[in-house]
Amino acid sequence: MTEYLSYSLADFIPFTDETYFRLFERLNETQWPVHFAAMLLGIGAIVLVRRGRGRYAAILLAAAWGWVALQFHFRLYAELMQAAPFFGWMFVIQGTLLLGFGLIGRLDGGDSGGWHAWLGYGLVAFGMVLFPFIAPLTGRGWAGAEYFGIAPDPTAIATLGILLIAAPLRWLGPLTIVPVAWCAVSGATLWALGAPSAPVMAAAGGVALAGAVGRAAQQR
Amino acid sequence: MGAGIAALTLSPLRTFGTANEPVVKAIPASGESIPVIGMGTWRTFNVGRDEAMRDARTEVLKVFFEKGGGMIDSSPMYGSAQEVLGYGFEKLGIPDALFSADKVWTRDGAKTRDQVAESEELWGIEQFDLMQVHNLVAWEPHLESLWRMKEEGRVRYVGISTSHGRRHDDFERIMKAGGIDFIQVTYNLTHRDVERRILPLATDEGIAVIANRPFDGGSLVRRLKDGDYPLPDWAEEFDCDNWAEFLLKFIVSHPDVTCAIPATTRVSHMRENMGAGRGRMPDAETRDRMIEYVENL
Ligand SMILES: NC(=O)c1ccc[n+]([C@@H]2O[C@H](COP(=O)([O-])OP(=O)(O)OC[C@H]3O[C@@H](n4cnc5c(N)ncnc54)[C@H](OP(=O)(O)O)[C@@H]3O)[C@@H](O)[C@H]2O)c1
Repeated sequence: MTEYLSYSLADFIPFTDETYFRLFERLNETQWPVHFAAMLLGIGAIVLVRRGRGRYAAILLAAAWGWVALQFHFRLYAELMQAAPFFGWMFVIQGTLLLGFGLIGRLDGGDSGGWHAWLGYGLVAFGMVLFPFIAPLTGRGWAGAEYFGIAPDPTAIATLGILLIAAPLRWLGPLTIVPVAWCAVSGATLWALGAPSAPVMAAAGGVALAGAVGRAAQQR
Repeated sequence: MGAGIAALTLSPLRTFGTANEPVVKAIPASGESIPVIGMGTWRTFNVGRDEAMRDARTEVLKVFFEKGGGMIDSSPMYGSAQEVLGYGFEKLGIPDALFSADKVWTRDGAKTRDQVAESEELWGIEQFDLMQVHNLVAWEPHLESLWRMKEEGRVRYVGISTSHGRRHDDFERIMKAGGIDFIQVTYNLTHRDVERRILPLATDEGIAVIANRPFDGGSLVRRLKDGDYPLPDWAEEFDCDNWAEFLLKFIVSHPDVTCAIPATTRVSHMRENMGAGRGRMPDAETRDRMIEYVENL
């Protein structure tokens, strides 16, 4: 038992920060100019959700999650990390859930108003607009910037935002499990690598969780 | 392992070197000598298929051998590290001085041979010098298979590995039972548990010792370097120019230790580390002084 206490998080991260961040540069090199399509997809999703057309928004979001699973987890991250295909399947499951719930009209509620919706807009803006600045601001340069629909972190954060805006309370739970779990996984990975951006993912996941819980409390 | 390196020691207890020749120590099981500074690959060589990074690691590998390196340690646990070594050997050729050390790391005790064969293919070599059971995972069936492979000439030495001071009781039991040529344990200036029982036992049983985590995963050497702490004047007495050499010379001058395997991503660090494998080494008294000096910083 005590043997397990001797393990630290870093013992499970088999690569250096340099190699991890290089993944995002490689992602950008090989994906360009899919970034534009991803950005349009994100903007489309938020517009559709506001108009109560959640089922179309769900298709766009599911596409983003599937794409990130394929291009990031299965293709690149799997080169370094044995758990990467597992994370890939988590993303595929999230895409499928979004698609399923969306198609049966569970995201059609439109902007539900209230402070949690504003929190949602905040997360969307953070994930889609501000997140790419993290790489250059932390000294990694623009080449490794992380974009919605391309890299996992901004995709998870913006999706949580959209869910806070549009998902009816009782579907919020199942739909936020994977993105919140990813915020935790990514935050822990960055923390183990000593990356200055680690708290960002923890905070984003925490804010989303607080929004969902706050909303549940409000509606009871 | 070729004969390119001057064997300056006849017994594993004596380590002297000139500035030009890498210091070597003998493997008790055979008397074969290997340079006291080897290289690890955990994290540092797991760079995936990225060619730019693979080329950068190949440079590190090249300097390792140019400076008289021998043992390289890896494991199937280390992601793409084995494959990246293979890439390097394809570019550089396989140096005569290479002493290849890898591990078996699978809970399936029937997979020893399959995993060894896979690792050989990834490195691009015909067979390993040393095969260790990683962290004692399924050690009983793996050791049985490895001993048989040794008899067949499929591997030259058999060993077991651990780190962070884990499972030392099991280690002692296995070492006493015989058949182990190498152990790999954590030993560095701030983690010296193994000095009490494991190291003396290794010498009694005629087992070679590989010291892993020589810089405590990097934090120890970074703390000393980033803190801008001065080296003591008397470091000159054992031809030590920098903190990396100080920490490594402390380890490999222990009479029971055969070699240390620092890992690095940088050519400049590799040069420093290889510097520790040359020149005079600290004696027992100086080693005590080294501990005291670092503890008081
Ligand atoms: N259970 C096991 O079997 C087991 C467990 C642990 C380790 N091992 C083996 O032992 C090897 C060594 O252990 P380790 O890699 O964990 O830790 P380590 O060798 O103690 O430390 C590696 C770290 O030290 C830094 N470093 C290396 N040379 C330096 C220098 N001259 N100046 C400043 N920093 C320097 C490296 O960073 P830079 O890249 O910046 O140089 C790297 O972050 C492993 O690679 C692995 O092969 C085996």
